[in-house]
Amino acid sequence: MNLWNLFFFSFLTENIVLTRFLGICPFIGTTKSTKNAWSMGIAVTLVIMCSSILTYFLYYGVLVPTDTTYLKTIVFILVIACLVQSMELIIKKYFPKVEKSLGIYLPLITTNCAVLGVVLLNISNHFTFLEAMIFSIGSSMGFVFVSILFASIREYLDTKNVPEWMKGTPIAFVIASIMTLIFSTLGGAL
Amino acid sequence: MSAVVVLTGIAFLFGMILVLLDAYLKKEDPRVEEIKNHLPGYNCGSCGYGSCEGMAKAILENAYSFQKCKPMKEEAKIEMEQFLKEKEIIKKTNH
Repeated sequence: MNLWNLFFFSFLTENIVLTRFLGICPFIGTTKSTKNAWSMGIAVTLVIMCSSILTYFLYYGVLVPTDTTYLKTIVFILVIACLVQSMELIIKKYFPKVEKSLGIYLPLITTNCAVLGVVLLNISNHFTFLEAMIFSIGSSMGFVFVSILFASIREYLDTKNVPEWMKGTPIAFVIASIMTLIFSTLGGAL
Repeated sequence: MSAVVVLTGIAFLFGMILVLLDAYLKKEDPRVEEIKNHLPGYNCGSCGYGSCEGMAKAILENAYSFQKCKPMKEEAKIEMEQFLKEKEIIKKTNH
């Protein structure tokens, strides 16, 4: 598979949120405003990139030579948890406002399955380093793109006359399902 | 056996990174600790700042915030005011 195809595949047609259904929690939770969606997207992108670099070298540098590849899940979780904790410390120190607006969702990137999903897919698809990087960039950009799209639709809907019983999260779920339908048809276009 | 060594090694390495980063980033204003020693330390949150630490930080920005502390006794408040004047957190122009 050439690199451009791989990027497009991970960015749109096999979008991490809307076709693999990973990372739904922050997708629904932090998209009340586009500003929040941006900061969450950037945080997730940083974590995905750093963790896929680190896990790639850990897997092929430590786990394969010592014949302990069955440890990959727990080691990758360790890497992600450590990265998220250090990122939280840095954000707390230098961007206290971002920390306040994201709240609990920031430490919860640890359990964001989009991150673990990307690093495990990198390994199980036997990607080379370059392919793994392209796949991680594509997936995280896909996450940001979909979150921003979703947040803008939700912001627009706030100004509209939504029935009382559909306000807030219920209508957001309906939008998410319609977006999923659209994204699932994109695979046939390629 | 190798699994134990590998996992412990990696976990230890990451633990050390977190400890070092925490120590490097947590250089707080030393005055916060001093002010906290003058507060009752119940962390009741009735001042509206959530904890005594939040209150100490608020005092650094606006010295007279300590009046909002509910469990603090009147004598302690006078003592606090004196302490803040000593440390020049209450400036003379504030009066």
